Order: sequence, then C-alpha cells, then structure tokens
Amino acid sequence: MRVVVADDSVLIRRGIVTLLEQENIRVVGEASDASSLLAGVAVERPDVAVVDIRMPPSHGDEGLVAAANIRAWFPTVAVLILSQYVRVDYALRLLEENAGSIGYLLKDRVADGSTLVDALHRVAAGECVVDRAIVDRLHAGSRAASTLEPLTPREREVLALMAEGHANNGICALLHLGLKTVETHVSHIFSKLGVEEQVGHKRVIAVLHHLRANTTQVGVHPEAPGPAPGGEWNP
Amino acid sequence: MRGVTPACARFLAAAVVGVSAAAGAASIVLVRDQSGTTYVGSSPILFAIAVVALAVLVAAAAAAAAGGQMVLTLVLAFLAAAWHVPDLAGRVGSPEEVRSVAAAAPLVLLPVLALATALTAGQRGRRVWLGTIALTGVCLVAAITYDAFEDPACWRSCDHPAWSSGWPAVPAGAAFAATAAFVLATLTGPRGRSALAVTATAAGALSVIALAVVRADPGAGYPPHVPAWLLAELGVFALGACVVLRRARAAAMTRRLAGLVNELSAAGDAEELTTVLREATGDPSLKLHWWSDELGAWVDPAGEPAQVAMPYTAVTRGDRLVAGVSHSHRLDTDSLREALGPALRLSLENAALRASRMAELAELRACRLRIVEQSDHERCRLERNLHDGAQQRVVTLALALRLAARCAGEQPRDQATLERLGHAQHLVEQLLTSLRDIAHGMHPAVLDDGGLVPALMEHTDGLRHLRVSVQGDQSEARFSRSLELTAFLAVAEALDDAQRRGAQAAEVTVSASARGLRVTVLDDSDSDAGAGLFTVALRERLVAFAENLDLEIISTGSQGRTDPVEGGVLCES
Repeated sequence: MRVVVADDSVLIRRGIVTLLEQENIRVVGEASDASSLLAGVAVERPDVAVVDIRMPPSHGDEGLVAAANIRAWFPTVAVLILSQYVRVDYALRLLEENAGSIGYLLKDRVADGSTLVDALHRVAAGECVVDRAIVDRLHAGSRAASTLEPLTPREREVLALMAEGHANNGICALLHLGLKTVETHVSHIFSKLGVEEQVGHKRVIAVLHHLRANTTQVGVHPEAPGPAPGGEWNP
Repeated sequence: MRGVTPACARFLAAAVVGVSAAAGAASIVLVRDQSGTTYVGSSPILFAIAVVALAVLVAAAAAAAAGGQMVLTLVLAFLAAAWHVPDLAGRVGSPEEVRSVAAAAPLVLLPVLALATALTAGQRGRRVWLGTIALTGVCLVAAITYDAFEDPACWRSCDHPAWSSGWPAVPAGAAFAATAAFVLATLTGPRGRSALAVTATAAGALSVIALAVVRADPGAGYPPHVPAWLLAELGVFALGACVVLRRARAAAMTRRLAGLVNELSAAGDAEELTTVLREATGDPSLKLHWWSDELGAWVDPAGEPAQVAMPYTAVTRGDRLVAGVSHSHRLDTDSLREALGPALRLSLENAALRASRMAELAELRACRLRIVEQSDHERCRLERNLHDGAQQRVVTLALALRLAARCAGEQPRDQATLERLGHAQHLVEQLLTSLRDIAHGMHPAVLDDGGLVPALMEHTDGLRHLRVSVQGDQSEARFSRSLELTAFLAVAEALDDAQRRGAQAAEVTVSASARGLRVTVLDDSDSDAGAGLFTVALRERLVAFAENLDLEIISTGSQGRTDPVEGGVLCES
C-alpha cells in the first residue's frame, strides 16, 4: 500500500512514517501543510492520504477541506483524518461531504499500530472509519439510551460497529458471527429504530445521526416553553 | 463687578448711563446752531438723526446694564457721550483748546468703537483685550501727533505745513486701518457667527470707515462729507440696535424658559432638559453635553465621550466647567447664557452629576469586559499550547513506546520489557485523555471554529444521565469569543446543576437577541435552581455580560416557569 502523510509536526510525522514502514506500508510522500499535501497526492497518486486536521496557516479545519478536495479531484485516493479532539460534528461533516473511502481517527491511535493499519486498509477498500471514541461517546450519552432501549445487547454491539463504519462481513469477523446472523441483526436494528435500511457510508451517517439527534425532541415547543396551564410537562 | 451688591451695581450703571446721555445731549445741543461748520448744526434733519443715534446708543448702554454686561455698558456709555464731540471742533466761539481736543477726538473714539463692536458680536477673551490695548496705543500716538498740539501757543489757528494740514496722514491712516482690521478680525473669533454678531461687526466696520472719511479733513469749512457722516451715524445706530435687540431676545427666552422650567420634574433628566431648552430657544439642533473631569472630555447624556459642535454655550460653576449647550449658528450665545436662569443651571448641574456617574459606570463596565476578554484570550492561548505543544509531544512519546515495544517483540522476545512497555503505553493513553479533558475545560476548541450551538451539542453528546436537546440555528451569527464562552460555561453549569437536582431531560435554546444572545435552559426537575448555582467566577462573568446575554433557567417540574432573568441574576422561584 502507498501512503502520503501530512502533519505539521515533524516529530509526529516522522513517528507515523517509521511506524507505517515497520508495518510494511510504503510512505511515498510527506507534507507539512494542505497545499504540499495536494501537490504530493497529485504526483504520487497514493492509495491513502493520512491527514492531520489542524494544519497551517490557521490551524483550523484545513485537514477537512483538504480531504474534500482530494476526494473530489482524485477519487482513487482514500483519506484518513487524524484529529486531536473527539469531535462528532467533524466526523459527521467528513462523512457527509465525502462518499466513502474516508476515515476519522483520534491521533492517539497512531500509537496503536494495528488500529491505524486496519483503518488504512479499510478506507483503501472504500469503507468508512469512525473512531470508536466518538461512537462510545454517542452510545454512552443518555440521548442514545432511550433510542437503544428496544435493542438487545447483541444488537447494540452490532450498532456500535456499524457506527464505526464496519461493513457486515467486518462485523461477522469481529463478533465471530455468521454473515446471515449479522444481516438479520442489522435489519432488526433498522426496523426497531424505524429507519430505512441503508448501505455503505450512508448507513454510517444514518446511524450516527440517529444516535446523536433523533432522540432530542423533548416535547417542548421552542416558542412556548413551559407547561400548558394546569398541565404537566412530560418530556 | 464681583464684590459689588446687585443694587449697588444697578445704581452705578444707571448713573453711568444717565451721565453719558447728558454728555451726549450737551455735545449735540451746543452745536445745534453751527450751520456750515458742523454736521449736527447744518440742518434740522441731521440734528434729528444725531439725536436718534444718541438715543439708541444710550438705550443700548441701558440694555447692556440690564443684561449684567458691565464692560459693554461702560463702553457704550462712553461712545454715547463722546460720539458727537468731534462736532464741537466746528463750534465758532469755543476756546481753541477745546476745539483742538474735539478735532482729535475721533482717534480716541476708534478703540472704543472697536471694543463695542467686538463685545456686541460676542467676542471675548485675551485676543480681544490685547487687540484693544494695541489699538489704543496706535490711536493715542496718532492723536498726540495731531498738529494742533505741536504749538500750544496757537492751537489750530497756526499755519501748518501743507503736508500736515489738519491730520498727520500717516499715523491717522494707520489708526483707521488698524481699527477696521480689528473689527473685521472679530468675525473670525471663536464665538460663532449669529446674525446679530455679523450685523454688529458690519455696523462697526461701517462706522469706522465712514468716520475716517468724515474726519479726514476737519478744517475744510462746511462739512463736505454728509453722506459719509450719515453712514457713520447709521453704523452706531445699528450697533446699538443689535445690543437692544439681543437683550430683548434674551428677555423673551428667559421668560419662556422660566415658564417651562416650572414643568421640569425635580430629577429632570438630560432628555427632559434638552426638550425644554429646544422648545424655549426654538432650535431643534440644540444638544446638551457634560464635562467629565475624570475623562477630561465632553460626554453625552449616556456617558459616552462626545464631540461638541461649535458654537456652544458653556455653563460654569465657579471656575468649573459643568455643561455645554451646543446649538445652531442662528442662536446667540450671549442671549442663551443670559437666559439660563438659576433653576435651570441647578438642573443642568444635577444632570451633569448623573452623566458623570454614568460615564464612570460605563468605563467600569468596559474595564470588567476587558478583564474577562483578556483572561479568555489567555485561556485560549493555553488551550492551543496544550494541543500544539504538550499533546503532540505525548503522542510522539506514545509512538516511541510503540516502536520500542515492537523492537522488544522481535526475537529474542523480552517478555518483561514488553509488559512494562505495555503498562507505559497504557499510562500515556490515560495522560492523553486527561490532557484532552483539561484543554476542553479551558476552552472547547469547537467553540472557536464551530460556534455556540455546535459546542453545546458536542458537550451534551457526552452527558450520561441527562438527555439534552439543543435548539438553535447552527449557522447563527457569531458573537465575541468571551460572550460565547460565558454562555457555554453558564449552560454547562446549569445542566450539571439540573442533573444534581434529579432532572432527566433538558432543553437548551439559543437565539440572537437585539442586544446579543438569548439562552434558555429548560429542565424537568422538581426543584428550582438555587441561588448558589454558579461559581463566583462565572457569576462575575455573567455580570460583566449583563448587557449582552439574557439567560433564563426554568425548572418545569415544580411551579412552572420563572420570570426571565437578565445576565447573571438567577431565577429564584
């Protein structure tokens, strides 16, 4: 596999490169900002670009913008974003702006070689990757709790893996289940959540949105907060 | 005139005006029958004109006295008394000494006429007095060099060299030219250009020029310059009329103000005062300003520093500047100053005190905001440093550990080292997590690049025991970093508190208000938010942003909604 690495910190860039080379992944280019990254991608046409979200000049969301550009101009190149924050909105934005072959990992994962390498292979194969910290956060938050109430513990596990971007056969391997069983779980989950069944990266977006927002209707109309006279507010 | 009782001053002024009227009348009456050698005596019409001009000058002196302008009273009285003295030079039968002095009198009248013009036009201050002194010097030199004084034995009867017949032309010309220049220079003085001031200046200039023509040749037998003499009379007439008119206007304005002041409430605020003054003066552009000693500048009624447009009338107490009334050029500064009676001055002073308190308050508020903003700037910088410095290094450390573990895993396998490295990697992971939490607590990064609503979404995503919905436009207008951080911290603490009070669900609504942000936190707990809800630091912040942040915290489980509270004051129901 051929990879381009972009990070403005030389220490981290060198670390990632060393690590990837040990895992027998060829690093064909390094970049310290978005423009040199785009130039490197244009020349090398790697399989994956590993991109730090915060890069010069403004140290804002340059990485996200660069990811969208790479996916638009070089559709064969997958992008894996590395972030220092757990940002649900960035992950969702990344998935919504790009159709597949995209990933969002916490930078901490670089120290965990297998996670990084696994994520690289998955995005190169066209899948989506969402860091488990983001899924955990949504999954554990109590907004999700009521949504997930009708699901069995096994179904919740499957849902979490779906949210991380795993395809059905990936889920079978991780949970040691048969493909048929997983497919049954998935269709149950969608019917219990009342969501139309989706595949690919649309499935990830649907699940994440569901975990995040679908349960937020507390039943209070914004224009008229408070209970009706004599009534009781029951969210 | 300080130190003189008002009654005494009135008596003195009346005496001065009376004496000047008598002296002026005497100089006219004495030359009444001097046809052919004096202007006044040449015809009944000219005599009548002189009488009218004298009457107006006397009336003007009286008006100035009534308005409390003692200097102008003296100047006008002198002018009235001496204006027709030059005609005595043509009175046949008078002693030569008297005729010679009378012939030189126009030069003495010049500085008096100039000063009367300047004062009537409202000019004051050092430049007027220095100008008058200089002018007096020039005119006295010209008067003393008058040829009649060259030989006290024969006075005007002597034969003089042709070049100096009557007047030494050079000093006299210089005196007239200097006077005309002085009078015209008053137009550019700092006191504005009301119609009255311009008229008075023009009248003064006219008189001076006409006087120059009339008196250029006093020994020429029958008065040769009747039209010029008429213009000089017209000039002083207009000058006197200006004084009388201004006094009449001031009196009318005073009456109107006195009527309106009665309607002013005891705590008449700036707006009320402005309305009263505008009504009384008939000048809709009139504005009030206060002098702030602290700022050393004018401030408007809201306490903000302001530019005072010219012209303005200053209201002082002792040596202290209290207020400034700026108004249109049409309004006469002196009339207004006269019209501002004691009651109104007191109201102005009260309002000025209030305004200066407002100014201090505004400055205090701004200072508090600056402190909060500065501390937020610092927090943000620290957060960035943590992310870009410490966190990056820890990630690098994690990478190094990972590489070391790989080496230890190769043959020959060192199990003990591998375990220690595994433990170290675990510790580093925990360190990264806590670093991230610390940075987030300092200044959530999403607040900076996302805004308040995304930051609140992000924050509430992770709450385990409270279901929170965040309502608000994600693309809402952005506010200052400190305002957004304050709102964020307040909501975060309110939600923590709601959780402690046993709430299960909450709703946060964010919207833009006219003054800034409006944030409502609704929770379903049975008890209400206590007074000690926020930490001291956060309460300080909320007070600092009281102007821009409406915060409402409602617990619907109990009695229902509380009254909206503004910026930092907590609901109590």
